[in-house]
Amino acid sequence: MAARLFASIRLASLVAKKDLIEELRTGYTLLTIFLFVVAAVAMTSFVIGPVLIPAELHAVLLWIIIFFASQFIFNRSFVKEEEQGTASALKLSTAPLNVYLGKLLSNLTLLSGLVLLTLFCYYFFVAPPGGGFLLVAAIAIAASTCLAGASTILSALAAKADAGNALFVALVFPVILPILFTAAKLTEVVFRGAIFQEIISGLLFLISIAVVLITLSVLLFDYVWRD
Amino acid sequence: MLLKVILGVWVLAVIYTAFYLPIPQTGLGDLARIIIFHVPLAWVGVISYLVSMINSIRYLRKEDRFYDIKARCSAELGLLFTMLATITGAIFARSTWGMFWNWDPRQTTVLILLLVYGAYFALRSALPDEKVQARLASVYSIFAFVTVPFLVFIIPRLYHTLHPDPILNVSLQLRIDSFLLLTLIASLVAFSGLFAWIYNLQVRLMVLNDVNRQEILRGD
Amino acid sequence: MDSYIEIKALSKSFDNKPVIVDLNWRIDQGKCCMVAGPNGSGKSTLLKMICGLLQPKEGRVDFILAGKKIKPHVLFRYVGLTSPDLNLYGKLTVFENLVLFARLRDVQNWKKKITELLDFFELEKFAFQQFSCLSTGIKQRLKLASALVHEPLFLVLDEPGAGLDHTGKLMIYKVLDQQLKKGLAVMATNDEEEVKKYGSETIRLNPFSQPGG
Repeated sequence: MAARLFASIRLASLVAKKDLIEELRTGYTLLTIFLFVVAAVAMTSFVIGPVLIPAELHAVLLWIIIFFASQFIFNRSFVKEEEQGTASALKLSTAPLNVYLGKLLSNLTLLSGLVLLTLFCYYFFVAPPGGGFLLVAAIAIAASTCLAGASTILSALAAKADAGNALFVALVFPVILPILFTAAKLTEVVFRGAIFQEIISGLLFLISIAVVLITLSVLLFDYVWRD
Repeated sequence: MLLKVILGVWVLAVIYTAFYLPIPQTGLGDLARIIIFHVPLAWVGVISYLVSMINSIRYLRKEDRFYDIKARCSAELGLLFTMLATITGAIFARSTWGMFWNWDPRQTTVLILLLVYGAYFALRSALPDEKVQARLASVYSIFAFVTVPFLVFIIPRLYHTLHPDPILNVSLQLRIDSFLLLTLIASLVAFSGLFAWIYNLQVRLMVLNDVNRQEILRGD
Repeated sequence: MDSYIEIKALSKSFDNKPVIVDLNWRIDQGKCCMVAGPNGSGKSTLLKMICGLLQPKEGRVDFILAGKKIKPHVLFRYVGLTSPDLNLYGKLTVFENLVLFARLRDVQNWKKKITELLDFFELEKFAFQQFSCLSTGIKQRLKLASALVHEPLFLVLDEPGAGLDHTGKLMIYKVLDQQLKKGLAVMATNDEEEVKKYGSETIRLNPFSQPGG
């Protein structure tokens, strides 16, 4: 059992590595995300100026930027495979579980990079109150895991349909809203000066959502992947 | 036939009780009458989604189109009942708080739930192949139902809300007048019966449509 | 080990128009089954159904190895496919594409195997070029190489000669010769000469397909 799990992780990491190499060599997505995040945060900082704004407004602004920046990542994985005609090659190379885990891993890596970049920029340009950067980073990574868990399988669903991009937005938006609400609420609490013990239940809640979403996706992915 | 007659009489009795019999003038007063419709609508909506998920699981296991039809019908009814629960809730909100909609956590989560199941039908309409549609819709239905406990039971309890204390609350105490509770249970039975009846009719109609279409395509 | 493909009552429709109707066939080890027919007769559809990339409306395809049916979830270990619709990863090099597909399929001694394939298909000088930058003919050779990297028992070729020059086509014939020694091949083609030269048996598809032998 353990050997099979390690084998799956190894094969999944090959799929993830392939996706990340392609993203790095294309450059378009990563550059767009970088420019968007920097521009959005800089504009926020410029407009706010030296005015002190409430913690909840900081939390909302931060998560709005993260939400819109993540749209560049969400739908790419499976739609790209179908559009480029590489999905068949992947189906004939490895088990569906390895494909799903690989895609999840690459989405998670890109999303984690995005949220950390956004946090760095936000703390640099805007300097929110509270100062709990590590706590906010922990919330952001937990939320990214939930977002990756939801968006990976939904992107596989949308890739099978006509107008996959528009459908993907309709599918993913209601599912990720509660995750974003929770993450924003926890971030607000940190900006008000909370310590780790005060947010641990919220973090565990996000982690439990991630576990549920990913477990369900692992069980259901085979039905989505095959034609 | 007898069951339908009994159901009809039962529903009439619930409506009469809801509008004409005296409600204890404590707490919400006359506004409490809407609970007799609002709560059963919400509950039956959740049950509909559960039935849809169960039939979706059955479809994935057996690939029998009949289960897909059942899943679709119960999702449709779930959407209908949830919309009605949202509307009755909005009427209550207007009477109590002066606005139909004020982004209360309960209202927000039920709106998200409507979007989740609205997306189910968007997905179905975007997949022309019947088998693919049935399979992927089943996957989404199972996925969508996982969000229901979070949206209906967990998240609204995490935040401060103007929504009256739920009947099933954290302290497991029934905070409702016994007469109102009895009427509420009767209403729940009535709406469940309505759901079962409409569901049964709809499934039979869709199966007949399906058979008819297959015959036309075969040239029979 | 004895291996064969069994096609039972296979049917497929698109938009309620039948493409394949009640096809029954068996392809034994050591045989090269040609699938011939005009454009739109369902050759690619049939090959995709054989590989499990497309679900039939009715019927099924079984892969038998040493008397036992190969389960669908491990079929990828035994089947190699090349097809005009099947692409490789544009931003990966020739070498990286081969490494990816070899390692995903858990090929032992994949370095040695890839070196052999690069040599056989004369791809060494393109090894570090990205797939998207290659010419059509070289892409086709790479697709063939990636279909063979795990030494599949069942090789499925959909118009493998498309875009290939004379040298490339000779490579296909060598591949078929080697393949038939250990397994079997199914090949879709419009070229009647290929059908006569390499087909042990032929499935002829017509539009509104009633297959013939």
